Amino acid sequence: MNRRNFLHKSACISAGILTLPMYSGAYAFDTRKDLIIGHNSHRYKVDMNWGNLHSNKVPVKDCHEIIQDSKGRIVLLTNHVKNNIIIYDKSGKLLDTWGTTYPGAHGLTLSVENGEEFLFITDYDRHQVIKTTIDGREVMTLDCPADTGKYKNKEEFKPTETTVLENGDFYVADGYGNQFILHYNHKGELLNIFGGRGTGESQFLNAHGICFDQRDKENPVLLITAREQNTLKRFSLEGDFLSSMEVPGALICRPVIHGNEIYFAVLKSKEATHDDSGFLLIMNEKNEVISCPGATKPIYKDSQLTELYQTIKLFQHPHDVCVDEDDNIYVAQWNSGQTYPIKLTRI
Amino acid sequence: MKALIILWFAVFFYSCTTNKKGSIVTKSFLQTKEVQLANPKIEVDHMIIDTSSRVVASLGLDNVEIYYTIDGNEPTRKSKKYEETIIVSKPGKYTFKAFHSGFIPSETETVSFYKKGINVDHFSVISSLDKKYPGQGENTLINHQKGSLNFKDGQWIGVTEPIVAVIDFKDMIFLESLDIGYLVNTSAWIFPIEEVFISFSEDGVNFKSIETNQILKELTKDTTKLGNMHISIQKEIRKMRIEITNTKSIPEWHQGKSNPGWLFMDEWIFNTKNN
Repeated sequence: MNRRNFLHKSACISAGILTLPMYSGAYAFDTRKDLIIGHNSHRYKVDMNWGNLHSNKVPVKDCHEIIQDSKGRIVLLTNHVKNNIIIYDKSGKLLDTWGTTYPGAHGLTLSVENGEEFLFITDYDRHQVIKTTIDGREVMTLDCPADTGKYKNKEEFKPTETTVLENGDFYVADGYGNQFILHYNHKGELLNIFGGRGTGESQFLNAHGICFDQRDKENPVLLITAREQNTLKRFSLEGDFLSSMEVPGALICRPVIHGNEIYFAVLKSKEATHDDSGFLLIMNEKNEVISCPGATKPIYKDSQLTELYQTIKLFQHPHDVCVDEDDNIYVAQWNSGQTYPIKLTRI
Repeated sequence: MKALIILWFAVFFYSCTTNKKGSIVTKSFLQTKEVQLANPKIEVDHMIIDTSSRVVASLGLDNVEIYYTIDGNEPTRKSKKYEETIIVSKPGKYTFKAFHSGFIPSETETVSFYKKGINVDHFSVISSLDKKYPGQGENTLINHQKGSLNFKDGQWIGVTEPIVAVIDFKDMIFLESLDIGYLVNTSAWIFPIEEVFISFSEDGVNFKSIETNQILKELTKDTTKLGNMHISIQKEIRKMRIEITNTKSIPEWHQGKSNPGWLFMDEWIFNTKNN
């Protein structure tokens, strides 16, 4: 090493030390440039290797939903009947699998009752909602609510999602069926039914996802996606329509509340001419879209959100997201070549 | 020197492995250069040109450049750069592609423009239309309007059986060609045209077949696109009969394998010298 080179490198090292905290991720030793997706305060780096498993030993088909349990474990639901449930630690290491009887495994919701954890699984192929313990023992199954007179046969009931209140009451969204929202008490007794197929304000086309929103403790509500209509609707717990928020171009799956924000997987861009056109969408506490990882920057003109669409081919068909305590996102995908979840690290 | 080397490794390790939350990350992240741009978004007024049409191309990502061609070739950075709305006044094919210094260029996105066909005096679909996707009735096919990629936009007729129509031009015309617009959206089980049978009559009574030789490439993966089958006719015609068949058996790779596919058509354009 000649003196000039030595001095140059020494200077670089000194600069590196002096700017140590802010140097992170910007150190240009080579041409590597980490992809950063998202907008405003919600931007992420992408880890495609997280959670990848041996496809012969622990296979997946569609990865429909993903949640985090009270122990911090990441729980994935797939419709592969060799292992419907796959449990990871946060580093992506496999911890456990169970479940072989859910060919239409679609919705996955955690319920904590007196300190004990349960899972609500919806299976559109079995036309059932199944409640299990966290390790897979079935404690309740619900069939088509035939007594309501809203269903000609049990096959019309194709539930996609559930959400659970603190008192044990729960709601079921029949998103692939007749588009009703069903309200049950903790024993599984039907209390109310509302919604239904249609384009009216209190009706749905593809009532795909539902969640209990108690960000405003005084006024808890239900958030329900009308995916085909690119709309998020708010309902009272009694089933009265309150308001709706349009997200033009975005086929939003289920709302996932984390802190004061709502996160969505967007299955695809409505007007895209190519397949695999999905992305993610994040709303703030005012239900305004603030970031769309993998898509156009959200822009409001005259209070109307302009159409959103995918800009880079990163996600294929994102179907659900889970957000951990470090604000990192785990993305489960439908019809994406049997791929395992993608992890996004918040920056 | 030894101390400097140790310091160098410390800087390198810290700069490459620490995220905002301060936790150590050993995984490597996806690189920008490994990711492909999505297709540019193309918006048009109408694809059948009466006077002119406007084309707007965009991809909402900073520093993206869009290039296009009008000769069917794939655009490169040496092609014409898209700067502003394009006014199209002649039939043709516009092909767009997005480029960015950090990302893999997009796939191409093509939009075709057709000249307006002649008005058809008498058009009658003699096979039955499917009740689920009737469009605006049989006139949907000759209303001089193309459909969008949304098969429910009212400009598409959808069938799962062959469609047969008889067209009476009343007077003898010289028909140069026929354009049949169709949709492909395999996720929705909508597949391309399988076969076309055309016969024509000079006297309105006796019909002769025309060899069409239209063979479309079989799809091997999920596809969504607007398709067009251009058939050269070059005959004096007064009446013609057209039969178009849907895909009888969806290919093996698709979840609907062995079932019949949907056939969606938006417009049949009858081209003469004068239109």
